[in-house]
Amino acid sequence: MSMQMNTNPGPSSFVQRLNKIYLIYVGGFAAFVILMAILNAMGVPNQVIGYAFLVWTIGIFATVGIVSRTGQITQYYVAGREVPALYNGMATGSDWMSAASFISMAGTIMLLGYDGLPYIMGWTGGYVLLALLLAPYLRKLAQYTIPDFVSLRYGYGGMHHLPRILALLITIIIGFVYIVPQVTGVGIITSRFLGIPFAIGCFVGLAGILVCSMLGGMRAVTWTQVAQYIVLIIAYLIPVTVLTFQYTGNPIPYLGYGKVISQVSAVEKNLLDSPAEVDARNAWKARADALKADAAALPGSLEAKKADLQNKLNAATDPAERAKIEASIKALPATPEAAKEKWLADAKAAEGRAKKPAPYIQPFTRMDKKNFLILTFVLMLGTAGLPHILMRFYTLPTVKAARESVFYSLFFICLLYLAAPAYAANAIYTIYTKLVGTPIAQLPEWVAKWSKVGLITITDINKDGILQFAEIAIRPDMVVLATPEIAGLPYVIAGLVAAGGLAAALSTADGLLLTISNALAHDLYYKIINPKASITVRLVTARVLLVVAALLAAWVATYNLAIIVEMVAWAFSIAASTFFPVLVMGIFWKRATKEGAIAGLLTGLTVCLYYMFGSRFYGVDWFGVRTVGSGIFGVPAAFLAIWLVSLITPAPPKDVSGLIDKIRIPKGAARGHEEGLTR
Amino acid sequence: MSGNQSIDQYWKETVKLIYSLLAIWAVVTFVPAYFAKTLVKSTMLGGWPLSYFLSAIVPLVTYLVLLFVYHKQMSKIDEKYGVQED
Repeated sequence: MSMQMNTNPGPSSFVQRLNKIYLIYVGGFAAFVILMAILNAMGVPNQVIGYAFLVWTIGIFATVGIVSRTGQITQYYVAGREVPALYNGMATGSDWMSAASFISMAGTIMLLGYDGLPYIMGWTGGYVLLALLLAPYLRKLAQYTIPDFVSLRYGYGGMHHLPRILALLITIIIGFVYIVPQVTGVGIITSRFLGIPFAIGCFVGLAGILVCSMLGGMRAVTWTQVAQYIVLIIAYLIPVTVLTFQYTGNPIPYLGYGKVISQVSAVEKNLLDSPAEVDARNAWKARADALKADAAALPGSLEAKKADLQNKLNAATDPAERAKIEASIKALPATPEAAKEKWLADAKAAEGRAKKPAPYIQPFTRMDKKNFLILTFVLMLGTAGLPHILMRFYTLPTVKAARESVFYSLFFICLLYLAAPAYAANAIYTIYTKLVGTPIAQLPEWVAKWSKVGLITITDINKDGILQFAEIAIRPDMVVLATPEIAGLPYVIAGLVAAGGLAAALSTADGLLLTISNALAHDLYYKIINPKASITVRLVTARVLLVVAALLAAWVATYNLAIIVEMVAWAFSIAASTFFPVLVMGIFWKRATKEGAIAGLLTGLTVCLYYMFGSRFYGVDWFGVRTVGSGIFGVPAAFLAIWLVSLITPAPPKDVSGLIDKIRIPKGAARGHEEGLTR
Repeated sequence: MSGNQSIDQYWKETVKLIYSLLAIWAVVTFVPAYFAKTLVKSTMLGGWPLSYFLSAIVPLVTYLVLLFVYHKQMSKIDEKYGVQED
């Protein structure tokens, strides 16, 4: 296949072949799902079906990755600049939509109500900035990486490597912060469905990532990402479509869920003020007060609890009973300091649940207006500044195709992003109408299943044996994962959703891994350390670094640190405060100088990181902006630094201004394996 | 492509298009969100609370339209100044 494609059979027959291959792929995929459904109905156990799904999914992606192997440098870095706009749209869609988008976003929107919508607007609206301000110009420049762009535009005169070095450092920071949670996501899905330990799941995922990207670089990643998009979008849309149809009779979830939302509002008016709910909330308040009293009476209160449990243990005879009490003794905090920390944290959580929840659609009750607008803005600019997304626009055959492709990318992304609030609305409606008020002994099976892995927690705080809304705690991941069961769909659909989540995590991880290793192999090794390296040496270096970066990411992921999930959101602030200003100014302002760019990158990064770590760990607070909105300070700081420093430093040489003239018009863009622009 | 003057003109027209599309982008994103507390009181066809509809559906569809218009208009401007790809 590699040889055939190099002979270049002309663009239209190439597109026809792609269409044919992916049509067969979709058909094969549908046939596989149907086959699994039949086997499942015939009595093949769920566990086996789960295995089959994961093995088949990874197997197909690996096959695409291996078939697309290449020994050509333009193929390895930019997929030979021959990816049609529509296919790059799908690849960008799955490159973009991560484990977080697929599994957690709908749940986050359910927990935040209206105030979760910055994620929907921010992560789509950023593509408008990308299309209007960056993508076509990147394509015209026709390089391999984002540091290439920075270097070509700003790397003149003395210390001409400095802009590239800064850009590659920031690329690696963003890439790494972003890739670790993807590997974690793969680890969670594989461990849950295969029943293997989480750490092993991470390395299984790693193998899946490597086979897709190592042999074929960007070319292999592109074609697997297209395959992954198809799986993830089908997996995402089936459950939500069925459930929305069950609730509203409307087969189009995008429009139908409006009715669900209005029903949610109608139901919650009476529900949240019902005596049982008030009772449960009062019980939480009492629990909070008791915990606070215990914390104040330390160390005596801890000793008393220990002694009390010990007495109970001595009195108990039943082995099961004894084991239970022993476990409670073990669960007690070891020291009074640990007890104080734990009990006060528990008290705070209990106090939160003692409050009456705000209505689902009421704006600015879970996030204030200022933070809502800031978060939307930062997510948009960050989206347009993420190197693994920007890089995809080098792979288009023309500038015109690059513009068209951003439209397709957004279209494929919107198919999922428009449906996420539908998931959220259905889930909250299910909880209000099907769960609340049920006797705790008769809860549906899926509640028991997902409470085992901690995604839903039921606490009968007022001990009335009936479930109240105040007694349910839900993790964001729950919503998408449990919807197939809520809708009463066969287990096959749950397997499909797992495959979709896996595809989402793998595709994003592939794109990021390539971004990181290319920054090292191309920008650091080839452009700075050894510009005379042969193509063979460059490709070997790229692959070795790819494996090293992947191992490092998997190793960090095995620790499963809670902070890492939070850090993904930080990547957007960093990208918004660094790449976005420097790239946009580089295209739209000829006077921007090398010194200005260096100042902009450093200032944006410093201000953004200062506020990020300061507000998260050291109580820094500027105007009440949350940590996720740190970019709101980094963005203006970077623009200002570029502007001021450029004005006081000598204008860029003539060849830079000539280069910008060339960037701004499509005519003369490099095709296929041709060399990109030079100064 | 004939001389720098026509490139300047091309660029002016491009930037003007970008500005107008960005203005729409900013309005659909931030204006409904800014007034969400007022808008939440209104309900529209199909049971949608207006504020939710204007932040979860309308912006996304508008972004798509903007990108489509941008693609089509830029191709026209390219041809007008003869700077399209061969």
